Amino acid sequence: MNALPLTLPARDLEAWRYVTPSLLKELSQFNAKSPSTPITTEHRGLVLHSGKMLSHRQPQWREAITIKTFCELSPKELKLTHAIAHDEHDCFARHVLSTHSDNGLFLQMPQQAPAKEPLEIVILGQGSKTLLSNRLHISLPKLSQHHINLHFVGMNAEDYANLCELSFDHNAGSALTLCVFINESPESMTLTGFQHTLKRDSRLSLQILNGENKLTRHHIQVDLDEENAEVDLTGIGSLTQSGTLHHHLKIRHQSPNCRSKQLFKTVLAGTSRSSFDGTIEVARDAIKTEARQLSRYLLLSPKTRANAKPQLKIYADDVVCTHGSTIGQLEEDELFYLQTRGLQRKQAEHLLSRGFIEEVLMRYPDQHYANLWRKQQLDRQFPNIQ
Amino acid sequence: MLDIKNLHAAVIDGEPILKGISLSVKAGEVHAIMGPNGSGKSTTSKIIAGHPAYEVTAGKILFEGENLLDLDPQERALKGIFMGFQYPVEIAGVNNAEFLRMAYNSKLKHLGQAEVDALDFEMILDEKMALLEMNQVFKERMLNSGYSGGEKKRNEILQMAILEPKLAILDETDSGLDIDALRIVAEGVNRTKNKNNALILITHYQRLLDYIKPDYVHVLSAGKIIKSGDASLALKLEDQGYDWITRA
Repeated sequence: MNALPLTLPARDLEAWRYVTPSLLKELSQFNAKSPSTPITTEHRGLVLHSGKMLSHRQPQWREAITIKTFCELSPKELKLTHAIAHDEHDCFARHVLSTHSDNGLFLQMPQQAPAKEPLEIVILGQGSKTLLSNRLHISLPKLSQHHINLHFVGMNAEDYANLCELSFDHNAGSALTLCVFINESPESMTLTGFQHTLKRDSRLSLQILNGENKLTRHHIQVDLDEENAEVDLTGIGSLTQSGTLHHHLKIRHQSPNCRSKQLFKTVLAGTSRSSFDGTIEVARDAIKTEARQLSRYLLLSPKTRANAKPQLKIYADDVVCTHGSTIGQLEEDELFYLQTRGLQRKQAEHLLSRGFIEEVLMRYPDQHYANLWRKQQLDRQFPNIQ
Repeated sequence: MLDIKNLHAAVIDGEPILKGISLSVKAGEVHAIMGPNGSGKSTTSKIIAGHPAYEVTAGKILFEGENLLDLDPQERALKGIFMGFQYPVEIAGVNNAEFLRMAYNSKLKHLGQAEVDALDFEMILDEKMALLEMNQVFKERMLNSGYSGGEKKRNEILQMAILEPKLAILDETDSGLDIDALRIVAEGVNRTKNKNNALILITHYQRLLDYIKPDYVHVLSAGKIIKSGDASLALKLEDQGYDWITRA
């Protein structure tokens, strides 16, 4: 393992401009060595910590998927793992990729799911001032249908940083529902990179439930490489203290008749900060593209900051592309309406704030995680609704 | 029950809208307020309910002897004032039945009574929904979100039936209702009427008053009540319009 030294992103780099510089500086000083203390875990599913597989307590799935390290891959398989095309200045991604150039994990999904329960993948965070990095590639066979839950979970009050680079190749006709649940320590930082390459007729539904920690940043790139591929991206967050959350997305329509849909909703209170930077690119040949993007922020405090940067780059004719972005406060007419039914002002504020998120959360594909998120986030942040 | 005395009001930092309204409503009475567009009918109802966008510049509103203008909207609601909105707001992400239970429990809490759980409330809700011939799907739908105009109005009356207010002010509840829905909603309203509560109907049309008989009809024009009478006044307005009063 020859990890590149971790350096800060260049000051003028657009992709990082909304991330608090002091947090990045703090992160660059973390210890990048793997923790020496043994980790024990009770989590179900495939548990990863700092690039290593700790356990896999889903017997049916354990038998059905093939797991290899990158150094065990055939040249054809290895080529698939090179799909990551982040901005060349993404120092964190480069760090992870160089750290795990030979020991990243390659998961070959089976043709058919071996059980009704989804495959659970747990990325475990633990340690003090420790930089943890994980590299995972997941390969979905032709015509397969899978549901994967990706759970980022950490020890409470520990100030580690989790860097995770995940790439997926979606073969023709495959369908994947990927539910991401961020449940890290409030003192931690989480930086993820998702790279999806979709072939003909494949479907991806990527749904992210964000927690509140010092820094969460997702870089998501989806390449709709072949005809009739479809992606549905949703992300929600509710930050009421001093957390920061950033979504940086690039959806590249490369072929005709592909569809993409993005919906991101975030509630901000306290001194929290967030950004949404989303680009839809439609290549010259990608006619009949349908692309929709919407980001919405609800600000509950004057000290919060939200930045939204929706972008369309369209080089084809005969496409439907829409984008929208709203940053607003609670509507006085809505508060008044609820108050006229006897609800206290605070109750009305909490109900509307929850409603803003619930509109998306109620459609989350895995309601077990949705309920967990309600309990951990919404019930704590907006309790006055009983 | 309700005494409005020489009420003057304006949109905050804006033009005056109400210019001296006086109205007295006793328990058991039904009052209808009619008038041309822009005369101040909806503003009157919003000010009674406590909308923060309006400023009362003179006069007072007493409800059971207490000055309403000192109270927040929710305090007025808990004292028994209900406003049925002309344009009910759509709130996505808030379940209709859960919201109704919260509103009902707010009232119970105010009265010092034990709050009800979801199962007990469902029985209350079922009874009131049957009264208004409402489909059960409205329990699971979001609050007014995606409802037709008529469905929203019916949901307003459902809220009224559940909260059983002392004074209900219904702002153009008849607009957006088809003939059958109007009859069902009016029958629902009539069933909640008794000698202890009162009703103010704001409407443009006589047709609602065919179903809910008013004791008094008032004509509001340019921020003032310019004529009051019994139910026959509404029939005359339907026949002759407002010109004969406003030009007098």
